[in-house]
Amino acid sequence: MKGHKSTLLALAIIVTSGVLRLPLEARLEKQLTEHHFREGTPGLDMREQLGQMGFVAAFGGFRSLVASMLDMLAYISFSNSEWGEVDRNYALICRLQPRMEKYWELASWHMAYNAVSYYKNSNPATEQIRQAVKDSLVSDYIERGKSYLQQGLVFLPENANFHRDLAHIFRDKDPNPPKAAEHYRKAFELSQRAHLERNYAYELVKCSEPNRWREAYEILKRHYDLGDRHRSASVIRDLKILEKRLHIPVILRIEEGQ
Amino acid sequence: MEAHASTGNTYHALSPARIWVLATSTLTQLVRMKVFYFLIIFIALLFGAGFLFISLSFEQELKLLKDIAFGAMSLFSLIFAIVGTAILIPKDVEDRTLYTILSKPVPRREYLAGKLLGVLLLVGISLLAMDVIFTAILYLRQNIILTNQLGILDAKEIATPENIENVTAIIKNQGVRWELQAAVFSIFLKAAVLASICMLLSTFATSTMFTIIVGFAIFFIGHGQSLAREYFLQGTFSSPVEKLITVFLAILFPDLQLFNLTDGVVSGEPVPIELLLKITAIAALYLVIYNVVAILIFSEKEL
Amino acid sequence: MTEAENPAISINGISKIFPLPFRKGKGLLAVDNVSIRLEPGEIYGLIGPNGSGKSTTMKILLGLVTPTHGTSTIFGKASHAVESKHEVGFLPENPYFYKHLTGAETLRFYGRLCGLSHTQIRERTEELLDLVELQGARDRRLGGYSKGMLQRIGLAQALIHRPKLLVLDEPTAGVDPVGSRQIRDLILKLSEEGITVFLCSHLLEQVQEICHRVGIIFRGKLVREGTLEELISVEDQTEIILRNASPHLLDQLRSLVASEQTETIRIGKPRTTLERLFLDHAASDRRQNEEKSLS
Repeated sequence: MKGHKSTLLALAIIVTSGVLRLPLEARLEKQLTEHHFREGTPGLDMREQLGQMGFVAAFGGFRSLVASMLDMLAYISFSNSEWGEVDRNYALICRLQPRMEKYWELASWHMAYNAVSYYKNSNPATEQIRQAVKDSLVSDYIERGKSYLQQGLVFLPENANFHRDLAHIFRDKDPNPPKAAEHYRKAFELSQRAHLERNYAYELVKCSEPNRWREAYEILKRHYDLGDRHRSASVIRDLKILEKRLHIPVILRIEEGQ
Repeated sequence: MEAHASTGNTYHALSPARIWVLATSTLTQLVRMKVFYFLIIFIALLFGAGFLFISLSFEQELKLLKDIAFGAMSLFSLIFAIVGTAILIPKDVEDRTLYTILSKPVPRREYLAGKLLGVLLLVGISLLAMDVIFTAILYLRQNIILTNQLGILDAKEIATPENIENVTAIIKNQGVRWELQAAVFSIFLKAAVLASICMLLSTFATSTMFTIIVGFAIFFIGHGQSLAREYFLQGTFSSPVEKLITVFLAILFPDLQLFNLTDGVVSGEPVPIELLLKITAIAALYLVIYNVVAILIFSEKEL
Repeated sequence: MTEAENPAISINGISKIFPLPFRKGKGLLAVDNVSIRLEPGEIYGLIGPNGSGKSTTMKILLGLVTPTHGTSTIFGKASHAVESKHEVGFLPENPYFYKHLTGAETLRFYGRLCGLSHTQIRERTEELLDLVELQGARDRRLGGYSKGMLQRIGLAQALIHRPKLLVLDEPTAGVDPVGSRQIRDLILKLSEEGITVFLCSHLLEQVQEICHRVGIIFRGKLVREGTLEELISVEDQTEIILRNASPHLLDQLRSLVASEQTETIRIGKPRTTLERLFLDHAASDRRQNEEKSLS
């Protein structure tokens, strides 16, 4: 019957065009991934990648919206000091939109700063918790804070702010001058922002190797020589320390606070 | 019986004038269903998103505004594309308007093309309206935030040219950019592909509900089609059943993720023109395929 | 072929079997080997009860349904070909046009579908609104039209492109008697102008009043066909119609009839003969069926 023939023809067109368009779709998808419209998943093997893709697909085009909604939920959890909940929400949010810089930063900040000060500072809510437990929670949340930024760097390797924030953590929360210095250096290289280079130098000063002191001295002296606006209290303080440590001839030493 | 041969002989080309008449009448038919009330909901949503959550950082705020706007645009255009298309043909059959139209010298393919174009006009016009409202609200919000942030810089006495430039750049990047229009266009393309699929479905569907349900199912499966395709192109299957399902999914469904520029645009990614053109081209390809098949089936349909 | 040689309608041995879902190989025989031929200028009425195959026949004629067997042409052009539609105007049963359009806009819409120019459409709209007497309602939306008005605007849209053949499906169904008469008069007027009319109905009086020829379709089969005279006159019967007959006179008549070799079939008020004919056929068909099911 004629009706059947055209049904068969219709099916044939669907199937043939279906097979033919697959490579086209794959190529376009690759381009979209290159331009970050589809999330690439660096470092994951095929199965894991498919898991990630399936996860993303489940939100069919509303991924960004879902992330925003979860972000608001996370904000509520944060207001209630439910840190586990905050962590869970951000893990999901960052997986949904791994190229949103702000989410990694927020996640890390909530963990390494807000959660940490919650357990570190005395407050009525945590009085019942034993000190050993609190200490362990503090170090856990610092690690979570670092971990978010390190994961963020996998997706956004050129991001200066992640390095800066990692450096801050290694300076303030989990002191480790060589690591802090390393991240400040990368942050400076990526952003060329002068204060990051100065921060790099300050961390070098805290290290124990004289060759690092020399590098710090060169940086700070260069900044100092740019003029009054660049001669902040910290620059002057560290230069004086370094002049002594490195036995800089008096004639070459800076004049402030003689 | 040579229905096709004889109809095809004298009417080689489609008549744009006739298709346009059908499209505009379809548009008024749909507009008469009072669909444009959705704009009120849209405006309410945007004002809610734009001005209620002021406890968030400005980046989160602007992102939320954009997410809600794009989410609502996607949802409304999806509903219009699927429901609008699904009700058209059954309604014309029920009212017997279809008989009066097809007993005029109107080839069935022109009827289908006109109906589809009518739905696309509705989707296009409603997206345009939403886009204008959204852009205006975003621009307003962006300027309020910029004024506030510069005020904060002043108050903290750190209003150096460098800082002002920095803050302005961040806010502008989160505010009105041409890429937002590209994102709206990608929403339109996705809706157009879905409308053409629903048009195809409604040429053989026995109920409007069927078309609507299957239409929404295709929307969801279409977002996962790339998984099946990846599997299919890799060619590694653990079982014949898996292979069968994969092939079925990859070949039958469109990849709707290809038309998802919104998520990236909200994250601040630039949109190369070349990419936009390619997406448009693949949408056109889908439209042509589904339309040709729809016409094939509809030409033989007993009305 | 020149147009003069072509019949207005030529339906040749069409059958239509609708496949039944879930019952492979079986189907519903809606139209069974029907042939109808109309010469230009005729008014032809196809009558039959609901579900007898009238509408399917009409849809096949208009190319809306493909026949399983047989062919159908309009002025020599195949029904399913788009060209054939230039010659035909169709008014379906109980049409609902786009409610949001006014009468004039409806005509414009259909005119544009037929590819008429703006001037042609303007002229035709005026002519047709005059013809169907809807000038007063031209700018009212169809949502507010009565059934009769809808039917008349439907007739006007069917005529927009000056077709030579008019196909009407139950043109007066649901229309009040006055409206019904209006439509009947319109059909006669159009016929006088040389338009061929093919109409379907289950309202027999109406068919009887205006059709030159009638076909009776029953269970998909064309069971009788001919001019009204042929169909209605029953050669071996005589009808006596009396006015003010007294019961006494009727008694006398009865006894007189009984004395002869004559059988009284019915004495009573006269009925539409076509209806009787139709009912007779339905009754004999039922009898046959009952016999079949008994044996």
